[in-house]
Amino acid sequence: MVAAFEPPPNLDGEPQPPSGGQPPQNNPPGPASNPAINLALVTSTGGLDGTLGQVLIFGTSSFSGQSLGFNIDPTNFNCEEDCEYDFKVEEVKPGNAQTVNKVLIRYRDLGTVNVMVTIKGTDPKTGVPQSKSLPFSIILGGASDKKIKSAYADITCTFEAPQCIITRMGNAGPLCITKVLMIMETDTNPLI
Amino acid sequence: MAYTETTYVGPWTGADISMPETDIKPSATPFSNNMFGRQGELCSRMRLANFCQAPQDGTPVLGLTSFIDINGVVHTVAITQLNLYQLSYNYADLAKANQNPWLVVASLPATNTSNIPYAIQNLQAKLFFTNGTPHVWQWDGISNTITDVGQLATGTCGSTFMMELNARIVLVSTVETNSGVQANFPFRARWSPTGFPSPVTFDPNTNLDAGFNDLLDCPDVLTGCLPIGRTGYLFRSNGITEMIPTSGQGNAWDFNHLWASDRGIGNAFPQTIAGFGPMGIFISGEGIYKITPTSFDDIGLGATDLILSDIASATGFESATILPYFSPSYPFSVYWLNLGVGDDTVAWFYNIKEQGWYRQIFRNKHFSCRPKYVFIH
Repeated sequence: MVAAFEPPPNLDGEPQPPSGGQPPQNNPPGPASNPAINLALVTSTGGLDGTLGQVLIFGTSSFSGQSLGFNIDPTNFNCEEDCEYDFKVEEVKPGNAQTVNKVLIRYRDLGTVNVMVTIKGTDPKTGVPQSKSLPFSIILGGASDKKIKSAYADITCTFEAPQCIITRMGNAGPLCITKVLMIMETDTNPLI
Repeated sequence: MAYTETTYVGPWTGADISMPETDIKPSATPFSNNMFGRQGELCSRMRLANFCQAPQDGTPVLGLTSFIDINGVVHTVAITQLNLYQLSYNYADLAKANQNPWLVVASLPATNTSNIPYAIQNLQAKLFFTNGTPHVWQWDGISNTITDVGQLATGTCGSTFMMELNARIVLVSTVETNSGVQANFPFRARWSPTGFPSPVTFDPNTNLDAGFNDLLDCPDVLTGCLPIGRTGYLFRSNGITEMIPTSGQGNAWDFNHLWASDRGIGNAFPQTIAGFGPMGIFISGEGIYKITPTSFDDIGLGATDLILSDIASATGFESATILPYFSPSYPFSVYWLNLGVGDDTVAWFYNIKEQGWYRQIFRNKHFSCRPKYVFIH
């Protein structure tokens, strides 16, 4: 709950001897309005040690209009949004159909993450766009040991110009891919 | 049947639609969302999480920074339309108790309704900020008051953009009052005396070392500024003007228009200029450029169409910054461009070292200020 707005407190007080700053509960007394005061000898108003930092940003919820401060945590790759990465479309030999047999994913284990592997292409005979996904997600990782490991998507489909797409739902875990292999067989009989 | 293995491996090169998706490099992507490539790894984006309540006056936070005062004390400040706040030393305890950790330092005029992000400078152990109103505010981190240092002989001044150059504060695209009448000067650059002496002034009638220049020989208006070394770059919609300090005899600056045509490379989108050290990045109407003292490069590459398409779709604010790192132990230098599109924010990360663009989306959020690495303790 956001606290009700209050006017600034009365911070007038006696000049303090230099201390390099203090960690107060509230803004401490500041100097009186005396132009003869040397500000270099006056205690700062509030302040921090400067030992710990984060990337912050302020934003407003489109739903509620509430303003919040957010941080971006570089130690946490469990993105709150859906993620998608489309790889290059593979013609291999234009005019020939490709049969995808398997997709190998090499990943760094940052924790358990559920991903979906999809192969998109066109029907070799009709040219109609097609896609095939695994009926269940591949679960990667779990040891959080940052070692590079392998996972296989046993997905079989025959398309012209297949494309591998990896997706991950929001909050489904931290994904870190180092390499992807798409294993295919090319039909040497041209479609045309 | 012929057996084929296709390998996709880094270094990843990001979004690329410069060629059909069948003919791009295997390391590129015709489309991605909330992923980025770094050091040979494709990762899901770092998590954006709730950190704290926003300052309690209900107006958007338009500026965020940390600075060190003359006592060596660090202050993390958030500036809204109406107030200047600083983060409490006991932020962690207050956050646990679901209390607001932002302490009011001083109030801005209640008539301030500008939503422009603050131009902020940390100079002489003091904080200076202005945002398109006829004021340049100063806080020293010691007193509990802010001072309007945007003084003219018969009024006050402020600006949309601000930089420090050659020991002077330079205001770009100024807003000024004269005998109570406010006017905008979108083609004016105004500067303070050297070293910012007291009493402060930006008026040559008060101090001959202050001054201003109206770029009336250019057909467009000022849309940003960037100091790189001893040279200041004034960006216009369709051009760039160099602002080079002279020896001090006569005019304080030499204004050199790199080009002053009615069409040319300039900063077409205010608030999207960002600088870091000897480098700046800006977005022109037809491309994205990186400027250094010795080079001028198109860095949009294969992602230019995608980025300009998102900019054209933007329904809200646009802003950009360069983050040299996300933490001292995670040095990831990115140019981060935010665009308000409908209810969401579409962002583009440019990996500066590996030169790849990656699209991100933050649903149901509009950011009001630039992201910044600040101290929280």
